[in-house]
Amino acid sequence: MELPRISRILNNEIVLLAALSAGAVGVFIFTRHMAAHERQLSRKIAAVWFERGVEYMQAGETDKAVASFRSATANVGNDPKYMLALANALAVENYNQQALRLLLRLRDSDPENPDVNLSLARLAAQQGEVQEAVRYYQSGLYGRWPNDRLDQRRQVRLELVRFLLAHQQLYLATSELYVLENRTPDSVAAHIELARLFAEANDLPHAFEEYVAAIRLDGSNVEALTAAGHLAFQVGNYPQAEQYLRAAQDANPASHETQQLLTLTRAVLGSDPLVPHLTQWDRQKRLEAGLEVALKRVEDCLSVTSNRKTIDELQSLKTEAIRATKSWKAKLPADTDTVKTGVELIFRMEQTASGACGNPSDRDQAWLLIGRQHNGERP
Amino acid sequence: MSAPQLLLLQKLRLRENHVFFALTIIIAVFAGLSAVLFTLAIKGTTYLLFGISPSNLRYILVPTLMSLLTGFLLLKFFPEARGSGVPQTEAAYHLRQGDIPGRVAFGKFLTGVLCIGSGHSMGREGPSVQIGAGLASAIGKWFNLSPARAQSLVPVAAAAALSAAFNTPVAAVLFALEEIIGDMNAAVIGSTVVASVASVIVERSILGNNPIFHVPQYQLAHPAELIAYLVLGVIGGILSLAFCKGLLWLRGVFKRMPARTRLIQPAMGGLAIGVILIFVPQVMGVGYEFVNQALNGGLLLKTMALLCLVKLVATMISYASGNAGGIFAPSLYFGAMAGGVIGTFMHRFAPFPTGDPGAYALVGMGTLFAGIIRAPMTSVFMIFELTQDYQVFVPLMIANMVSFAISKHYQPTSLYHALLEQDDVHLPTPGARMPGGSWRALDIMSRDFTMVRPNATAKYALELLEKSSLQSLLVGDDGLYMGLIVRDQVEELVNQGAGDTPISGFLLVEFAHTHPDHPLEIVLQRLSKNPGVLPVVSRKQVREVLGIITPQTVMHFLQKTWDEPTSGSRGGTPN
Repeated sequence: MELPRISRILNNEIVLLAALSAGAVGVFIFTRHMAAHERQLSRKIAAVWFERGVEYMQAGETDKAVASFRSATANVGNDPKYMLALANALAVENYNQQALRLLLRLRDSDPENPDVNLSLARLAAQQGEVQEAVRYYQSGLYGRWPNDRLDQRRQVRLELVRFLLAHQQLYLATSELYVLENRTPDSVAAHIELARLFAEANDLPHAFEEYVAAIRLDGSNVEALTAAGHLAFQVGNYPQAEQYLRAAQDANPASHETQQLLTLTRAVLGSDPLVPHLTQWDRQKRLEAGLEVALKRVEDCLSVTSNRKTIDELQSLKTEAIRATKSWKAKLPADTDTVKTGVELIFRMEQTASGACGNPSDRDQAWLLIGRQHNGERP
Repeated sequence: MSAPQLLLLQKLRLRENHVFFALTIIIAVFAGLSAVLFTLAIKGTTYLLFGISPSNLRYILVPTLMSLLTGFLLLKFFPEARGSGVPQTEAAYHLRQGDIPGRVAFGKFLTGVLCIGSGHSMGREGPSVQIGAGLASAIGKWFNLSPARAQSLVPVAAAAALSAAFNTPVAAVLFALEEIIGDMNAAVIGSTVVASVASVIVERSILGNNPIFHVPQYQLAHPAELIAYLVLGVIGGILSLAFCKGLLWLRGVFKRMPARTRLIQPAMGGLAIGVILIFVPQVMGVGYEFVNQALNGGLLLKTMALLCLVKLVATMISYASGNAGGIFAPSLYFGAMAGGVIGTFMHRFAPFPTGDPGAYALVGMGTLFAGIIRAPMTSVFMIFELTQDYQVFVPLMIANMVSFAISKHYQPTSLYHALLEQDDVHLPTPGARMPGGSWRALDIMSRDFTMVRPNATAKYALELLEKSSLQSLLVGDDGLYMGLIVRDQVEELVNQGAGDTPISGFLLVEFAHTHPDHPLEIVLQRLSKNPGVLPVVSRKQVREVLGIITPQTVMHFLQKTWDEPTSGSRGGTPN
């Protein structure tokens, strides 16, 4: 074919447009390939920066960690993992507003992300915003947790409980503890941890139950035995207190505190005239012994105090005690009502003397406890 | 191929309208692909040259050595590829009917990738526009399109390239109309829209439908916040002005250096950038990742303030030293940082509730763009496209207009045009394109003029003045004028007995000139400011005198026109 004809064909618009279109398709495929390669490269660079950031965080160099996480997010702009790490590092560096903005942006795109909510909660907690913190903690707890992170979820609930306790939100803390109680693994450490928190939340019966659960798994666990003994003592369950404190003392004889409490518990158990299964004579004897102790305490106190009002009060109680002793001796053995009245009198004497003259002895302390228990007060 | 087959092929030959439409889409695809490839190549080059965490030595060496290489390439092979690319594209559109030499697109791609990839603080949008326009011009030539059609491909490609580079198709169309063509009612609006959409489809099919910035949800927390945006506008205007003046001044300094230093000027800029990168590596390259962080509150107040100022200086150095790269992205960078600073400050200290500092950073981007690039409509719609939230309009318009007004008041010529003027290229202003002016300087001027050499004596100049009965004479050499010499001054010299003194020491260099396309109104206005002679100069080279206009030539032209109403290049008496 002659050249001019070939040239005419090549200059035809359709041929040119077709050639250009084919070229465009080729360049498109090439560009797509390049873009995929670039994305891969960016991810690789971001991962390197992220690793560095984690290392800096672990080494406590948070300023460098912030810079590294920033570089990671700069390379892969929208990766929540890197943004979260950056926000957390900023929060550690006290750049709370920047951290908050990043976290809120992450939360906007994924409101049920437990990590984001947890970071927000910690940030709010750090800034003393209790309600906000609780809201984010709860959003985090009720977010989407993968099955392999359920223990972490439990830890977050524990963190929330601790936060609530620290901010005197005992009611909310107790509610969260009830949830935890059902999801706690059956281990000594877990029961003890829960028991401590219940105790902090002032829910002593539940705390006691958790210590007992721990003792069931490990009967020689000193901490559980001691704490159970203490709690039983605090709620006035002296027989159980004696049982656990004795076991704790056996397991750890060096504990002076346990020894003291055990002695006091035994004093209470050995002095209380109203414990079940005593004969009337035994009750009588204990009452008399108690009155003797209380009278001595009053007299000792009278000899040291100079407060007129206290002296009058103690004198009046002493007179009442002497009169009551005579009355009881007239109708031996004393009936239960008389014993109760006697216990109440001893309690008043001990209480007044303690108020005026300071620390009582173990025996006086035991009578104070007996009085409080039978007055319906917590020891 | 047989004769009947050839005949069939001839029948299939398309009409120019159809070809133009098909080309619009194909050019949009190529412009979009080139913009995406340009972006990818810059990222790849940066990684290749700097690695993940470069040493200080590398920070110094990479921009210096790469700028030495690009300096050589720009001086020897691609002189048109220096700088942004937007002013060059405008010049090609207005002064050369859209003709851009084929090597420009390739040269811009290569030098742009090397300059921005080696750490220069410059943007990729301007080069993308020039690359796209260069491709369009080459394809237009291949198809033997008429000059008018070939010219219209330039804004079409510019819109497509910007649409792909910045992922804002509406703003890209407006930019092509507002900045490249300078006429919002241009006839190519349909083609630019088609091209912009086609290009953004290509870009999104490659890079995904991810916005270039992840912007915060905009909210105006209190009506008093509008005052804060007003303040942002004022500060944005001052910063824009500082950048424009600073860049032009520094570029002037580089241009005044001896010609032999032109090869190493980019490397001088590279060395300075290397030193800056050691201390503030965040100003490297385009920097959109840090804009993103400012928008989303990831940067501290002091960091943003530092980045704003350092980026401003770094961009001035990179651009003024003659490297290849744009100012579109840097202007958004300064804006985001300045807005972030003001937003954070307001958030802390304002006595009324304020929105997120990221919202200020967003408005700040538009504010600086309006102040520097001087395309306020593009700026408003660009930010609107990023946020897709109508609430942003009012604060954005307040801040933009204030910034635009301040910048324009103290720097009447836009930066792109001022940069061209530094290269002795004067683009037609909107006034020069006014439709009412049917009589142009080209019709009025006299081509019969004398230019006296600067070493001529005062006596000789006076003789020429007396012969020509003019009030002043053009002085110049090799067809390029240097100034004017005025009759009164020459007469005074001769009367003082200094007739042999060369006139070069008495030149008047500050005087008005006009261009061939200027209407009569502008001609008369400028003539009244000059001592009797108004030179008519080329837009492509303002020192090249095409003719002169004197009161006599104007009178002569008017008499001639009124005597012969149908004569003249455009003919007729104006209504």
